Amino acid sequence: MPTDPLYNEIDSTNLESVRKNTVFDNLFVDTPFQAKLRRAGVWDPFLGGNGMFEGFIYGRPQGAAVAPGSTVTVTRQQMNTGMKFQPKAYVSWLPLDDWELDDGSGTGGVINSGPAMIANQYQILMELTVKMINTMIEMDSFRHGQAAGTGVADNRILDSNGLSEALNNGIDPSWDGNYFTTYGGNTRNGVIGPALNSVPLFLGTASGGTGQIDFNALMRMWAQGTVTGGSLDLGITNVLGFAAVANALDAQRRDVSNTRHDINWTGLNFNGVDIYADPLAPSAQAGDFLSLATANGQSGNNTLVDGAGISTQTSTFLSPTYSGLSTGELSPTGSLVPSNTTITVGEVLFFLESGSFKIRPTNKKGWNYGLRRAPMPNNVSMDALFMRLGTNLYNVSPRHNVQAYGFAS
Amino acid sequence: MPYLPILPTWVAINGADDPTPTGLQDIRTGQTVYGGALNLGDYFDMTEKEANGNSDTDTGTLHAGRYRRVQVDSGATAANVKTGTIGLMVAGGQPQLNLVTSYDKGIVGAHPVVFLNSITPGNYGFVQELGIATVLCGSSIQKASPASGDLLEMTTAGVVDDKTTQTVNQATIGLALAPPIANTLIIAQLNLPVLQG
Repeated sequence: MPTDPLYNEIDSTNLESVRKNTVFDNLFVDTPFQAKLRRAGVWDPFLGGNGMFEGFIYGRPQGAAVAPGSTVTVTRQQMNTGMKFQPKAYVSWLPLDDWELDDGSGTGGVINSGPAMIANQYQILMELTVKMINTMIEMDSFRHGQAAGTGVADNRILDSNGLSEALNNGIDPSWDGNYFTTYGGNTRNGVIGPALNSVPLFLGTASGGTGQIDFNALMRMWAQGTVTGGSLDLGITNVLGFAAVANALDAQRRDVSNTRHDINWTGLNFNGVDIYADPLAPSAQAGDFLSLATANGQSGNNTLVDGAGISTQTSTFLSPTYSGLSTGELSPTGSLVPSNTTITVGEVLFFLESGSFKIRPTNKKGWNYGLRRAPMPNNVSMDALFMRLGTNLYNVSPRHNVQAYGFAS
Repeated sequence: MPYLPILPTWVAINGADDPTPTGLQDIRTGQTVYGGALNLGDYFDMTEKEANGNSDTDTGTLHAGRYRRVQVDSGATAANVKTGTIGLMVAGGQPQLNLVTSYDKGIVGAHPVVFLNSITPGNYGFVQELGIATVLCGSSIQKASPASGDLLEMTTAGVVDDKTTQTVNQATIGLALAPPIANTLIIAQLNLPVLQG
């Protein structure tokens, strides 16, 4: 209810103390995985066409040590093929009322303009649409972009073909509980054999609980990625997972060097792998501090979500029942995943060869953080604004990369 | 044409309880501030995903359907304006579509809506008038074996009942999509008139 008189002496003679054009961001966080990949030079603009083709070799010609003068039957099987990915459309949208806001043209913004304006609300909205897209892409880069099917519980056909899908062997579950029998349209473990396989590594207990990250586990990951000819140079884990790695190595007085690396995030170098802490990478605990899960008022638009409307918070899943194995017996692939067991994912760590990734944003400016403004034809002041990005992220050599999960922070 | 698929809701759709129709109020005079272009009577359709994403899940999860910006009549019974209860056109206030009241103050069968959250009588918020809604069952269920697919009827205090006699009448709101249980929120498919304006 208004007071009588309306303004008291203080309010009628004093403005509030404001710092103009300053708005603190207490929701979004940085996206170091994307930043690091960009700096690794894997930015490969999509110039157009019927999907994104990547050729790869999976077979070999015949050969043997032979006796000079002998004859051989010369045959040839197919040795190379290709994988194919589709561009994915990311959009962030909001309404624009030009009575309230000016778009920079100076023709609107009856309210949010002039010397009384504390901050440009239109600019805030535009920056938030970009942050929303970056957040979706960052979170999607840890998940998959396939339709639901054998081994895949959730339909994410509109999302990027991220790490859980790429770093899989078609048999063992990735950190999200899915296993992917295809990658880039190719059937894993079929004619191409294990060419597109990366074996997930479970670091938990035989009963499915979380274990500990330690030097041995890191060396195992390094070995898996290196034995295939990979040159591991990038480690990504959540900040909480990073803490677990650092703590484990420090406790063992092992080869730890905390270094301030080149993209403004503190990194940890292990055996040539720069491990970075990404706040949006999968984690069980990050949701206690970051707005990821639905608790403590986290609901609706105050949460961070990916392109499918969920977060990267980890939980539990039931592992597959491997053929011929009893509950709790370990997968024959070397993944250390126990059969038919409830797995607690905990924290997740990726050891990656950054050069094996591709980020494929379109070069069409309308869909490369391009703004579409659609007036509502019979409304006096309302438009819809769509910030848009056509892109995808995928990996051309999954075997050069490794994921591990099942450790606690 | 208040059908408006481009609009600000300012808060989650089931979180609105505003003293002004636009959702904006001058903190000094209490008057309505016009900005953002939310207006009384704006109605819009949402897909399941859109409705889920615009929900305050602490209050409930919304589903696919049609939602409307309305004022709750100042004479409404506050206790009957809460998540899952049925609201109606004000008795004596016909034919206003954008002014609704609690069941006990309305005309049974006239512009039935589902309240999504508690709204202070006299304030503004969103209600659901078509689609898949969450409704509140009364303290007793008349039908001996309530089941999904049963017809639901609004009754005293705006809660719903699964009657022994399954007959469509002016109190019918739709079809249960989950077995009705006393004092419980269940999802239902609304079978209500489509109204413009």
